[in-house]
Amino acid sequence: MHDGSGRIVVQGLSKQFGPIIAVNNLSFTVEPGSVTGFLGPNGAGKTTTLRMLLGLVRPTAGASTINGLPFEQLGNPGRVVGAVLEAQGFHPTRTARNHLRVYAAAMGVPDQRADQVLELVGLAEAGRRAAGGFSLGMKQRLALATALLGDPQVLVLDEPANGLDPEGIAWLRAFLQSYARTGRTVLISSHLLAEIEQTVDQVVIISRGQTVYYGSLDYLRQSQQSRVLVQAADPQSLVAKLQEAGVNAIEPTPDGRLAITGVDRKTVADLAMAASIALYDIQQENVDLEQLFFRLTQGQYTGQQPGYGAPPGYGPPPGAGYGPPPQGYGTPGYGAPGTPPQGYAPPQDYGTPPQGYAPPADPQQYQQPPGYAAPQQYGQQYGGQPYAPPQDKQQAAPPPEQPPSGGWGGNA
Amino acid sequence: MGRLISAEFRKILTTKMWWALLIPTVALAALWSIAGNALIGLVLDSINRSVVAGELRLNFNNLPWSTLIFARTVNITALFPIVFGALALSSEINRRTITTSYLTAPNRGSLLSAKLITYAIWGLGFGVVITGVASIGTFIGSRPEQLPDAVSWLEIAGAGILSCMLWTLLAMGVGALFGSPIGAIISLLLYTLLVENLVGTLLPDNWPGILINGSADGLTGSVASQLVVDKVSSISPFINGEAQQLFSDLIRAGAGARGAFDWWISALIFAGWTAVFAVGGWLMSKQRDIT
Repeated sequence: MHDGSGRIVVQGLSKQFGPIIAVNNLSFTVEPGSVTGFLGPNGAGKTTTLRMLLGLVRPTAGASTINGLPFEQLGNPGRVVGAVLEAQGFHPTRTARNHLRVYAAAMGVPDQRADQVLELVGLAEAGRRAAGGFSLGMKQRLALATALLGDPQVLVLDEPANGLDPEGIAWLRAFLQSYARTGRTVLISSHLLAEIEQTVDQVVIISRGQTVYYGSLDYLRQSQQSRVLVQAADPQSLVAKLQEAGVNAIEPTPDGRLAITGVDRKTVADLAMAASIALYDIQQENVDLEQLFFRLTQGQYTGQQPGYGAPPGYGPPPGAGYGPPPQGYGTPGYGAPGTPPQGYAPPQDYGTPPQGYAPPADPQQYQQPPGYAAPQQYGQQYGGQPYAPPQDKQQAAPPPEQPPSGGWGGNA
Repeated sequence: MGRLISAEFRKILTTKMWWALLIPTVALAALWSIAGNALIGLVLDSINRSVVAGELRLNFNNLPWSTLIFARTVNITALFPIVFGALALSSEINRRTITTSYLTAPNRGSLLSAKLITYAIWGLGFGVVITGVASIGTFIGSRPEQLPDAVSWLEIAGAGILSCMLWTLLAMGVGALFGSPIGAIISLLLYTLLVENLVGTLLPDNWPGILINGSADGLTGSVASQLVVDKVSSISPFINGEAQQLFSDLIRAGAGARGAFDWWISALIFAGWTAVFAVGGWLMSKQRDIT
């Protein structure tokens, strides 16, 4: 029998479809009690990895376990793992309720459970309608209902937010968090960090079938150096004052503000006050995680460019099991003025993952993202274009205010 | 295993496919058995009126001709259990429900076993319906003196039911091998209705009886034709030796079982073919990536 730990371990998983390497030596661990995001651009190998984990695709190499056992040894897997893999796995003329009753029979749960999960995902009234007539969002909910049928300890969801309305996404978010809080395991894949940023605690970021980051989202967040944007009455004096105070990472922005890195807002304000410089505007800007994600997974579509290794700081951190940055690091002309790139490195300690993590033997493997675009792009990010703090964008998404039991409302 | 079989039954009963196939099954079986026997009656009437038959004092009336029609009815109507079986796994692959089916089964082998058992039962059911309707149709369409006796009827009905069950499983194996409903159904129908009939006519002796359709037809056709052949001597005292052999071969061909072996050898051959496709489909299903 399985160990009941709720832990997912993926070790050295590889899959080759003909000449295409979909997943290359992927390793990570998902711990119970947290929501883990599985991120990567389209085609990065997320779905293939999840399907290998669930025994649907045979890996070319490597292995994966849930509760310490490979999927096919779980006994009655529907009671251990629930999976939402696609919103299409329904017979078009079978009703939602009958669909659930088929699988309730297969995993040996009482038929009433079908009605319970329909209720839970807000499909109670659509239960006697054929699934073929469902909208994409309703199919997603039915897929989730199917996954929940066996009251599993582990939930695996592949892009579950596809087709959901904002209300549905908010509900899902709250639901998954409360699910994880009961000590269960949730692994959720997405190609959009923003979509799951508020949901997940841990992230595994992959690109082109390889892990580029694996650890806590907070570490990733903290690792981003924030900067303070100020509009001063007398910028020159403020710069002089700051330099006096030992703050040298100062850049003018195109719209006449100063971008100061490595200090917080309060320090800047105090210094300005002491120097009697009026400040018209002051704000702290944290770099968008999404941009960082984009950078980590860049190169997915561009070709391999010799000479560029991992962009400084963005790649895997030094030490901690990851190989050293490959040559090509810090190509001349690359470094952006005044911004220490290492500020973006995920902290050193991120890489001490829980047990079962095999450090890659080949440092080359982490030569990601190889097609790292160009200094311009780097400059662009710091050039002050995205002035609005990125958080604003995230706040645009509705917060998970609804309790999970509240149903989905909406277009049921 | 019980859980998975009950899930398979629910899968079948919660869609319309089973009765959408059962309706034409019943209709075709009724049509063939009634019309076929009526036709035999007409042919016999014209033979009886012919001068030659009169001169030679041949009497064809007391042979159980209806069993030949019975066998043909079963062989033709088996088309529907074939379609039903072909869809067993391939439509799950096509509809992508196979993902959840695999996710809720202990392993692929147990799901496939559950399907084999379920479809064997349904194949038997189709066989019972087909032979039942064919029996009623025969009773309606045939002349009383051309009906088989009770034991012979049981033999031929049993052979028909067995044939339907094996066809269902064979088709399920083909569906699992192809992984596509259209591909499986088209190739099965093309092969059984066309390819093998063409190939069969070119083959000498017992060779057609080794083929898939040949052995299946032989299973029912040999039982039926044997019942008739046993009574060939009753046609006329003049028919014996080579003439009797020739006549028997004609009757076998008439039963749609040209070159077939005895029914039980045919059954073994056909069961062998079923096993080949079922095992092939099984191995393919174990290997297939569900992406």
